[in-house]
Amino acid sequence: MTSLSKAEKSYIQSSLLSDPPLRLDGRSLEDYRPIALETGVVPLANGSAKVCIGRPGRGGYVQEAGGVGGGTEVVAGVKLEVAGVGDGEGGGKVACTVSCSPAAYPSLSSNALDDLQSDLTILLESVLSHPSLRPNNLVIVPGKKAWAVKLDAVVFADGGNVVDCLMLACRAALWDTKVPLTKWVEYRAPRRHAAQGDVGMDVDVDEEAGGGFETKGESRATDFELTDYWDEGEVLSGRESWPVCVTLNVLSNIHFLDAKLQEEASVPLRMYVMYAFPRGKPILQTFRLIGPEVSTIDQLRGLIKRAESYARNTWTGLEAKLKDEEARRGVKAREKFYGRLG
Amino acid sequence: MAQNPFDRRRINGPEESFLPVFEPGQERPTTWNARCGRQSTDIRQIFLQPGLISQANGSAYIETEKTKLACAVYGPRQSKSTTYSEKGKLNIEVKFAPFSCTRRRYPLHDAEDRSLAVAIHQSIASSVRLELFPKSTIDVFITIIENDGIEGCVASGAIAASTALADAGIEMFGLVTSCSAAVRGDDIRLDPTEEETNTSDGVVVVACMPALSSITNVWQSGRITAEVTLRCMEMCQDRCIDIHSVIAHSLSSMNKAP
Amino acid sequence: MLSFVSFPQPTDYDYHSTTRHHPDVGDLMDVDDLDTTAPKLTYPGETVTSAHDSMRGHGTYVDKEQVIASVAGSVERVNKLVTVRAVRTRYNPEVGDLVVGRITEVQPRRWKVDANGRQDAILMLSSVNLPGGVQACRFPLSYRRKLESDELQMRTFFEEGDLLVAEVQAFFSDGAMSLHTRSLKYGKLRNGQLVIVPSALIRRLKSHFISLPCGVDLILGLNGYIWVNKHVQDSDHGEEGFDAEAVYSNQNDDIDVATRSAIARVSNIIRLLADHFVPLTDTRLLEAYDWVVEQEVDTKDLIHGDVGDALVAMVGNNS
Repeated sequence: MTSLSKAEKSYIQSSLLSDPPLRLDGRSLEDYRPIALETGVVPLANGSAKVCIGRPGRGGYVQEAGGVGGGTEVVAGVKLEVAGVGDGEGGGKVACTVSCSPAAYPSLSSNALDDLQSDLTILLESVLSHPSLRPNNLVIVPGKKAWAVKLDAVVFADGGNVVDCLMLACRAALWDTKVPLTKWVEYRAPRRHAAQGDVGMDVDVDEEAGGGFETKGESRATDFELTDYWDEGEVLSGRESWPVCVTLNVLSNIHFLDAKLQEEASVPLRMYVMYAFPRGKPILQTFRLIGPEVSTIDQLRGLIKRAESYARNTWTGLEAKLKDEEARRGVKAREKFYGRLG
Repeated sequence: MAQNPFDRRRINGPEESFLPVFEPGQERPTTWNARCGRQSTDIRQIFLQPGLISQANGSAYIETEKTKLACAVYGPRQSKSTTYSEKGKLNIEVKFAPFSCTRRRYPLHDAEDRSLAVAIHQSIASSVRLELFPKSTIDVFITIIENDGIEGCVASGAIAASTALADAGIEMFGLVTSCSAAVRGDDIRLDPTEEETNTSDGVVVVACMPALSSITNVWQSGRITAEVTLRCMEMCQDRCIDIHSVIAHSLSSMNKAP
Repeated sequence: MLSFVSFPQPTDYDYHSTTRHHPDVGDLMDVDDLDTTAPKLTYPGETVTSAHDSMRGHGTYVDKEQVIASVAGSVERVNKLVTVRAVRTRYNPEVGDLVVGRITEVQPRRWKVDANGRQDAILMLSSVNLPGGVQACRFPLSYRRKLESDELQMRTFFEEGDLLVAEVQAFFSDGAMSLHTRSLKYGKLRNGQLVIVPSALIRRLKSHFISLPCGVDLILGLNGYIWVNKHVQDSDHGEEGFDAEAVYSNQNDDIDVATRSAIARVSNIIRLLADHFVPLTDTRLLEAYDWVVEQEVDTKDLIHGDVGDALVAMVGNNS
């Protein structure tokens, strides 16, 4: 993708392998470029986030080889749609799509762009749509209707390390997602007091009622309506188990994080390591090897361990930032509310 | 009317169809069903035959119980693209037969084809000496005739592709073998069936070159701890040594025959 | 812990609510009256002047006896000629310009070079120094024979992706520029890295080969491509001692760590200045480099915002 002459490539490689290792822009091997993150950027989505790695907020005047701006920028949005539930399915699927703006890859043909999009989509889908991560508060009417989570990420600029950026944006968007509160509507109420009890329940309670409700709910609740509530809704359950990604770029016996495009083009092997830390316990959610180079089991063992500590760094940082964002937006929403009153 | 994407010459079924479910709301079983006839570290028997597709430069057919696929290699031949490349290109295409799965596969383009092709490409690309074939392409076509789990297809596809490349006389560093594993709790099962992968916490596919004791691909998804993943990788790597002898045997026995 | 920053918030919250007028509407907006020394900025479609007393130059067109701007930029007048220079535009080559380019394609007897222009530039096999020490131009008789054997091994000189520094020699009839590397100063680039900036930031200087005292050489291509590399010793031998091996080598020299980090520092300074749209000159780069060393700014901190603003303010004050 990025055109690099042999001399440039060997310059990058020999700098990385020198002692102490040097990178093109003076970072150390484990440094990230500055990462900017904001949630709630898309008003029409149920949850959204924008992440920019490198040069946040700048127009990206400076181009890097390959003709793209210096940073990587991704916007992810979550839309909830009402979908029917097939027989035997739990309901509440997560579907992911990645689209790459042609502006991010001006040198790629449309076929190559399609391939890239589908590769990223498949990667994201295999991570985020895995049954083990499915939120369990998406059921609207048990056995009939559920919210389908449509997660769409758009790559606006690619300055390297697009997978880490995508995962950060997706995780932040899912974190930001609010499921609207619903209540069921019955058309036939045989006994008055029972009906009242059901109508009052919100989604969360349905789930807890679980199996016992199955027979009752199937026959009665046929449709639903949105409750008129001051808040947007409740957050997705299990939102602390979505993973973050750390891309390790491996060059013989060293590895480094957050590669720029030229650095990506000069390493033979990359690893996508995605970790989640629900309740502090590290879970390896996805591991992929990319590139025309072989590895050994001992090398992988060491790298997976190292990746865990990098991922934990990212994880704690992201967690703190997301809480800040929530607080900031809470204040902003209140100001807007009062502003409208006054 | 807008252009119809359907092929009118075929009998098209309804857009969506579902299997009849006999026990509605069946809960996920808490344990795996016991395997019949093999231990959790056993893999299914492999039938591997190179050279069955006569018009290809090299080919292989592999069958592991319910996973059946055929692989044909054409090349190295002149690349169609006009841009110069110093290294050869390895092009892998995977196609599911419409009848290969429990639900009929729509015969036209399918996203899963590409994800499989990418995984198999990663498994075998580093074994082929592509630097010897400037400006050329090696085409590897894989047809899945029967599918018993995607992970099994990735593993078998890599084995078949490596065998077919050897059959085509293309220079390689070593033979690639591949093995999958499914994890549930602390239970690890090698070479899982579709049913086992569907009810597992996560799966690991490992491809390696046993002759060089190097790993070419690791493909892990699902919810597993790093320790268990590494244990899976070790177990798969051990099993790959056995598979390696199967490939070596099939190649040498074919070349012995007149 | 990895730290995340926020996107900078717009400082002007009233931006959307204020009413903006067409410049003609506001009576205080007449720039010409207020400050005649500042360049007048214009936009496509604005009438610049009447066609009777002016001549139409680049970036303008004539309609109904009026000279109208066709690009957004500054109006320049030379006697009766009125031109509009765009603020940001592709590189407009002129004969004699020094450019840094990248080979995109090898064709019969020529290379295609990406030099940030509107079309790929062309480097003819006959416009490069060929190995063997004998210059084709000096011996016209050996010209043809030489090219035929060399045609078969063009990739040994330049191949796809290679970077080179060259001079614009002429233009083809379709406007594509023809380059030449017929000097020991020109040729393949090694021992460093490329930084790309908007071409408008590179002014025509006395020399585009700059040596910084930190052991770093710069080649400021007028097309916005800047090559930052290790300082090379001026070779004593002249054209006769032309060493083809070295000129077309892909092998880098041994570069010590100090030089490598200096290259990284200079590159980051260039990126930073370009990011703030500061025109790059040798003096300015030197000042900036000295300031960075003086303030003991770590190279990697240059990619963060605060240091950058301070550096740009310093450079702006001094010039």
